[in-house]
Amino acid sequence: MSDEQYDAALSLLRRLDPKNVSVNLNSLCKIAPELAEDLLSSVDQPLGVKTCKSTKKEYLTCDYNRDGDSFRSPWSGDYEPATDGPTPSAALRKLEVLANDSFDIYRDLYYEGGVSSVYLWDQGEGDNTNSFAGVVLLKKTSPSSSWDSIHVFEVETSRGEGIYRVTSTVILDLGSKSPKLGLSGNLTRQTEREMAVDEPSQHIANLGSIVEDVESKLRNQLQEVYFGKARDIVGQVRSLGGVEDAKQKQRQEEVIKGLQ
Amino acid sequence: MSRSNQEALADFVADAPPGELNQVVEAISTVVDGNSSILSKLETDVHNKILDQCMVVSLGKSKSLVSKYNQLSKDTFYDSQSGQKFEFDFDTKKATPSGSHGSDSPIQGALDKYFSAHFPSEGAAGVFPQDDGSIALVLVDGKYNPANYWNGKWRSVYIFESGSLSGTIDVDVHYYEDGNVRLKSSEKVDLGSVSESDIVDAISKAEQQFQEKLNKSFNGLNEDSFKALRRQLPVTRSKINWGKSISNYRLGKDINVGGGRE
Repeated sequence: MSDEQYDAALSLLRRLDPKNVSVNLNSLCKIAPELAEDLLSSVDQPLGVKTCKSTKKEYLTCDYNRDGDSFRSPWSGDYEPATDGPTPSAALRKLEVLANDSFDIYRDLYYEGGVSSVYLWDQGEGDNTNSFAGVVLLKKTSPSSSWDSIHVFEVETSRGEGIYRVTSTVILDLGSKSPKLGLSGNLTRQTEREMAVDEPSQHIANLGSIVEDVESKLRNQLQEVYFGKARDIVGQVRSLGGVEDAKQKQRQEEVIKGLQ
Repeated sequence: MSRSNQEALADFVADAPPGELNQVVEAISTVVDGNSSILSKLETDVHNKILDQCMVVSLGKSKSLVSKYNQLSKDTFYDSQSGQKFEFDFDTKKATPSGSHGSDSPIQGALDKYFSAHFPSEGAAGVFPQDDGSIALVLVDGKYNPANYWNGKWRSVYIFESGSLSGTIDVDVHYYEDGNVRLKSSEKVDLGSVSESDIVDAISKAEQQFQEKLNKSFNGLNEDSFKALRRQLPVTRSKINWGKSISNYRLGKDINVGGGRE
C-alpha cells in the first residue's frame, strides 16, 4: 500500500455520491484490500443500530466499538456476542457510564428521539483518566431523512487543564419524492479547546459543552450549504426568472451597494 | 450476487460529479496502481459517461454537445446550431471542426432563444433528428467552480416522436468544501401531443414548473425534515447545564409528566 493509493481512495470518496458511501467503501476495500483497515477506521459512514441484550436499550455501532463481528454495548459494557475485545479500564468505564447517561439526556433535549452512544478507550499505560480517547455518536432517522453525528476526540490533562481535540462529522441525508430530490452528504469540523478540570467527571461536562457547541455550528453550516449554496448553484445553471432579469437584479444590487 | 470490482469501478465513473470526471478517473488509476487491463476495460465506461452526460465542449467561440443523439460515427459529432461537423477526442476531450453538416431544423431558432433566456452558464442546446424519424432535443448548462469547491449541471433531454413529446430533466450539484454534499434531482416529463411549432414552448413551461416545484421541495425539506432531526436549542431555549446536576433534566421531566397526570 502506498500513501498515494490511500489518498486517491479518500479523494474518490470525497467526490462520489455520499449517499452511497458504505457501498463505495466496501467496493474500495475489495479492490484494494491492503487499504481496507485504514479506510474503515477513517471514513465516516452512517451508524448502525443494535439492541443491548441485557438492558434492551438501543445503541449505535461503528468501527470504534467493533471487534470482528461483535459490538460492545455502552449500556452493559459487554460485547455481543461475547469476545475478549478491548474494554476500558475500570476508572474509564465509570466515566463512560457517566458520559452515556449525560449524552442520553442531551439526545433527548435536542433530538427528541433517536439513539446516542459514547465509547471511551485508554491512551497510554495503566488505569488513567487523565489521558484517554473516545467517540460520541448520535443518530436520528425519520421516514425520508437521517442525521448521524460522529465526534472522535482525544483528551489530555496537564496542570488542571484538559486539552480536547475533537473531529466532528455530521452525515445528513434528506429526500423528497416529487420532484425526486436527494440532498445528502457530510460536513466535518475540527475543534481544539482547553478547559479547567478539577476531577475526572469534569471531562464529561467539558466534552458535553464542546459537542453541544460544535453541533450547533455544524447544524447552521449544514443549513447554509444544503438550502443556501446548493439552491443557489441550481439557480446558476438555470435561471427561473430569466437571465435578463437576474442581470438586472444584480445591477440594482450593485447600485444599492454603491449608494451605501 | 456480488458485483465484480470492474463493475464497481464502472459505477464510480458513472457517478462522477459534474466537471470531475478526469479527477475520478485519475484517482481510480492510482487506486488500482495503474493496472492496465482494468483501466483499458474502463475506457468504454468513460466514453459512455461522456455521451450520457451530454458533455459540453468548446467549438471555436461557441459551445456544442457530445451525446449519442448527435453522433455521426465513433468520434464524429455535429452541432445543430452552427451546422458544423467536428471530431471529438475522447482522451483530451477536445473538439476540432471538420466541415459542415446540414441541419436546418425550424425548431433550433426558438430553442436558442429560450436557452439564452434561461441558461446563463456554460452550455449548449441542440435539435437532432434521429434515424427512426424522431427528433431529440438536448439542453445542457453547467457551472464549474472548483476553486470554491462546487460544480453544478442541468441536463434535459426530450424525444419528439409521432407527435408527442416526453423527456427527462436532471440536476446534479456537488459541494465539497469541508465535506461532500450532493444534490440530485430528476423528473420524467410527459408533455403529450404537441405540434412541432409548440415544442419549445411546451419544454419552457415544463422546465419552469419543475424548477418551481424543486424550490418548494427545498423549502419543505428545510422547514420540516431538517427541523425534525435536531433542534436548534432545547425546548427550554437555553443551552444545557452540564455537570453533576445534569440528571435534574430527567428529574424535571419526570415531575412534569407526574404533574400532568393529576
